[in-house]
Amino acid sequence: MTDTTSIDDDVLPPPPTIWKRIGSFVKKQPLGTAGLLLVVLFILMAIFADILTTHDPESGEFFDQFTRPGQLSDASGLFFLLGADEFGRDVFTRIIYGARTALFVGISCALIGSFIGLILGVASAYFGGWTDTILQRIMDILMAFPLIILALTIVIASRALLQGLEVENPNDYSIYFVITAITIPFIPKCARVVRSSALAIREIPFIDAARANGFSHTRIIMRHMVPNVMAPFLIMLTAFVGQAILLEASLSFLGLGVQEPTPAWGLMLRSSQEFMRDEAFLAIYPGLAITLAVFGFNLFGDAVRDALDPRLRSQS
Amino acid sequence: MWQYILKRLILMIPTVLGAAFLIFFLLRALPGDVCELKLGGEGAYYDEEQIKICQQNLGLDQPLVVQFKDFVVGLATFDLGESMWTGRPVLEEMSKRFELSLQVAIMATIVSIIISIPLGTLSAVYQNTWIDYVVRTVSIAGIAVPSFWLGILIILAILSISEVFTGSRWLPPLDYRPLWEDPVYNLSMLLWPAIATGYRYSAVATRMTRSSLLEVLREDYVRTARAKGMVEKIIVNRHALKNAMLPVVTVIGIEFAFLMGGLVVTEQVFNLNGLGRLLVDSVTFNDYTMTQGIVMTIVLVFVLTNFVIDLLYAWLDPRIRYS
Amino acid sequence: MRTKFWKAAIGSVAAIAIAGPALADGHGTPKSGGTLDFVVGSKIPSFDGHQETTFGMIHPIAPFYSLLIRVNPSNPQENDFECDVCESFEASEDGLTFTYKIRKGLTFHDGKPLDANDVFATYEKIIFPAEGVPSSRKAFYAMVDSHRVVDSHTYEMKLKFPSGAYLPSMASPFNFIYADEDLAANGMEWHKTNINGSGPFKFVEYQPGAFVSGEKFENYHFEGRPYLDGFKAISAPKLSARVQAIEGDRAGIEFRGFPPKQRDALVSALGDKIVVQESDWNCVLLATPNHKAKPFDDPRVRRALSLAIDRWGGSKYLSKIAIVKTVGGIVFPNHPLAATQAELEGLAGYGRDMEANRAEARRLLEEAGFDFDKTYRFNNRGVDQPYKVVGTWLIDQWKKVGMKFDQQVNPSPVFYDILRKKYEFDVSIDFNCQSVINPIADVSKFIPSSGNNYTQNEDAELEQMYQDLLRAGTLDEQRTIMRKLEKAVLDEKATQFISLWWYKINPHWNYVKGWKIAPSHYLGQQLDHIWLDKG
Repeated sequence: MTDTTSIDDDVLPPPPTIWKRIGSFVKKQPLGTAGLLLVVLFILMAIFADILTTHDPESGEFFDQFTRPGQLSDASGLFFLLGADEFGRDVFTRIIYGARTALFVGISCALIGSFIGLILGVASAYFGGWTDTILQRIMDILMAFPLIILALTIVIASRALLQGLEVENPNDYSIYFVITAITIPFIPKCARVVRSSALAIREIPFIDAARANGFSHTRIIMRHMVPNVMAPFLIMLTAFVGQAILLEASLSFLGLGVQEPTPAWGLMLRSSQEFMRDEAFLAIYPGLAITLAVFGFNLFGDAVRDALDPRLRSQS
Repeated sequence: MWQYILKRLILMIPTVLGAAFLIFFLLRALPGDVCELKLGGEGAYYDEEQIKICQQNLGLDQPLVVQFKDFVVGLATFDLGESMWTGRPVLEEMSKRFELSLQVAIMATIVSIIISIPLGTLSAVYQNTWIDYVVRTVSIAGIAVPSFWLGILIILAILSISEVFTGSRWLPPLDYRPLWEDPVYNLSMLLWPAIATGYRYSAVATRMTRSSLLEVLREDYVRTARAKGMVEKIIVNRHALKNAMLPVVTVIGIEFAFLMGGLVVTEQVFNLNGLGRLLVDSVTFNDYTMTQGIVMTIVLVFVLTNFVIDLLYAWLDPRIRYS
Repeated sequence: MRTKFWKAAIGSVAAIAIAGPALADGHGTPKSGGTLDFVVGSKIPSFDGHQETTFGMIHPIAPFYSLLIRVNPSNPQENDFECDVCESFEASEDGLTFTYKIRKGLTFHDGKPLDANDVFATYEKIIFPAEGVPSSRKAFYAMVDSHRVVDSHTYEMKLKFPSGAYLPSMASPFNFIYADEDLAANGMEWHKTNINGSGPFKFVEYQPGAFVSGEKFENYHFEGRPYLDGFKAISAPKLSARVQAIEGDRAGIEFRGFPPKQRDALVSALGDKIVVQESDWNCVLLATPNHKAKPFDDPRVRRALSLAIDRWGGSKYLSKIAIVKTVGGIVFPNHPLAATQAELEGLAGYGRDMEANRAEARRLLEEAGFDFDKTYRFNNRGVDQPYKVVGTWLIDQWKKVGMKFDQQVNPSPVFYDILRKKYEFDVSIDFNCQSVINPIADVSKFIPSSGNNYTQNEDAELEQMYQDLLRAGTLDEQRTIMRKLEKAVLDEKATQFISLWWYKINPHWNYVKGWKIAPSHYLGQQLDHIWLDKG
């Protein structure tokens, strides 16, 4: 085994080093690189939130309320880089911890939504017939159904459910229902795109040949169909992260997302709206955080799309 | 063509029925009761006997099957019933709000078309130059900015700027008057939300214009035209742009359908009395009839928009209707 | 059982006048003319006052209707009842017969004459509705035995027993006078969507969800009123939109109340163009522990809950951001029956030394074997002002003695479901909000058997105390029993807790004249006494 690979290594030209690859990505995709940097920055913020901050993200002292950005509180003498909110909590700390909430929701929604979409899309294309028709009707209904209603009903029902289950920390679970609410509309979007790519592959004779050879459905789907729809799948996946972060912010802004005192950007915007005439900073920083994070993911997602979509790749 | 239209129309029926089924049972699965909110929502003493009377009057004591049958029969005859919260016909409650939401959606579409098509074209033609990068950055930012946050900033700016220039603070009107009754009043109210949502909308359309145009510019006939020495401007304007419009129209159509009920957050920020706000209120008040009415309206708008887009496609590209 | 209880509760209440702060001036000679635009922070439900219970109906619709008697809008801080469509009214010596003389020459907006028959039809619908006809406050009139039309200008009510709660109930701002003919011809549901009153303003337009407008009614019975030519009530559910509406002069006033931060923003933006009226508010948020959920069945744990709350500090800081302010016991603050400052400080959690309070709380928790690792469920309502603000504050206060609560902010229907039916909470926000001030009736909230007590507690002692309170003849007696009850509820038995009393703040444009703040946002909203002075 080892012998053969070493021979191959000698024969083939050396693969480009990781640095060269990165170098060419940076050169070809300057915007994408900027996006990637932003994404990495937010991920680091989320991971090292405990180290980066000195305040408690969920609790504060009233006498620090509305301390201006970059100032020491008169009452406690503490320093607030981006100011303190109406409960005297440090805005900087809450934004850093908010990255955790946003990225957790964003990434898990995108992963789950596009993964289920992938399975349904491929299955729909592969099996065709009634399976396809029924799945497509269900996708139609989900697409037509207003997202806000799904979100509202899921969130309301989940609140009642969680209270009833007597779980220890119901708020820790409520975020999963928010994720469910945001994920559902992603499924038909991804399934649609994957299905149309998969249909094209389904037409290719080798699939029929494989079936004639008695290969199992699973094997054919996993070996032949799935790898061929990876490009649209990854494009949808990266696009969903930004969308999910925005949706989570909107739901929290409406009071239907994660709940106080959990630090979340949309929630911060919600309460800031009441005080923004005098304390505009409360409305500006969380909004900027949302915008930058989504901006980063979208820039990066675009670059991924350009790199993966063969039709567009031949362009540059 | 007629056969295709008929086929597409028939396909709409299961979608609409499925949505009706879904909304009906989703609502019933929610806890809470419109009568309890009506009578005890503000902390006054409340009387169990009155709750029973209220439920009987609203038909909430009927079995679910009967309620569902009434709902579907009502749908088929375009009778959506009366709002459980206000006692008015659902259609009457919706009409003015529909008008407002429709106008905002149309204005946002106009804003987006004005911005997106020239910018998207520029970006494609000057691909990978600084122009392209600026346009792409601006449009990606448009998708990244939460439109409700943009709305908050716009209101702050209006209040501050009007004070600087006029000495007193000016705020857009709070109550809707139709465009034909008082155009200035109407536009001074709805322009701002149209801009806030139009920016996001245009960002989506700009990106689609760019990528779709790039694709068309690679096609053989464009290469031929180039080889023949045709001026680039004419190629783009006369040939490429027209053919690249199809996906752009699709995106615009889908976004439009979304705007009809999806402006919930923006409506809150600008205090607009639109469909989105009514929808959220109705769900949180357990106003079943009203929620069902709005959801079905939004579903219908969505389904019809898709229908029109499909027809457009079929009309522009004959291969589709025969497949 | 519950109805009986209620009967007793309001049966022996004496109407007591109290004086509150009056910061505004209603001085100057009223001028006629102009249209008042105001914002309402709620959706308008139906127009039927007899069915609805919200200020979202009162603010836009009350100006269209007259009442039989009303709280004097120029003196709303006291229970000062004046005639509206009546000319005069008197009670018999035994307090069992009330006779109302109805004004002559009154008409409804559509021209129908208004006389005693219309008053009769109205109260028939409110007090003795036919089966299936809703009447939300029917239980308030349990003392009424019968009523009749003596002649076309004389209306009479007979009571089963004398009751100090009778007149406050009759003055309810919800008791719109409807035309007998309208009810007979169009049925009992007609007023949900139609308006025909005899109030100061005639209905002009309603745009569902957006606004209601009205114009001056020329044949209004108070001479020279209304001063306004018309009004427009604009719906603006979001607080920030209402504040901006005033700032941008799209509205002259909002009648419910703004948080202090918003008041300050308006004052700093508009200076002396803004007049601020403030008053204590007959609404209070409570923390209700579930006595059937361990460990809150233990009075020591419940006491610790209250001891941990820094009310005086909260009053100072929370009152900068929320519509709560006044530290008080179970009785509306500053009322003769309310606890004095010194009396308050003797209650658990009202002491000024917070360190000591919290140390005591920790000691009690240790003693009760409280599980500091467990997180408990706190049920709250998804409304920012003041529920979420106060809830977030309470949780933070409890955290300071090591009690962990998870705040479940629920949409109103879920919130009620959990609080009233499923009892799936350890501690819940709860509230008590009434219109006409009536402490002996209002404190029924704290008695386990009352219809709106959700503690799941049973306590014969509290029931007995309340019965004693109802039978107490003099103010002194009532006061003594009230203190005992208060001490038992808030301290010894620690069954429920008061957070802070609401504080009503109404900043409005200085051109809005004649409106006086009331201790309730339901009172004084017919607008006939308001005038504009735009210079």
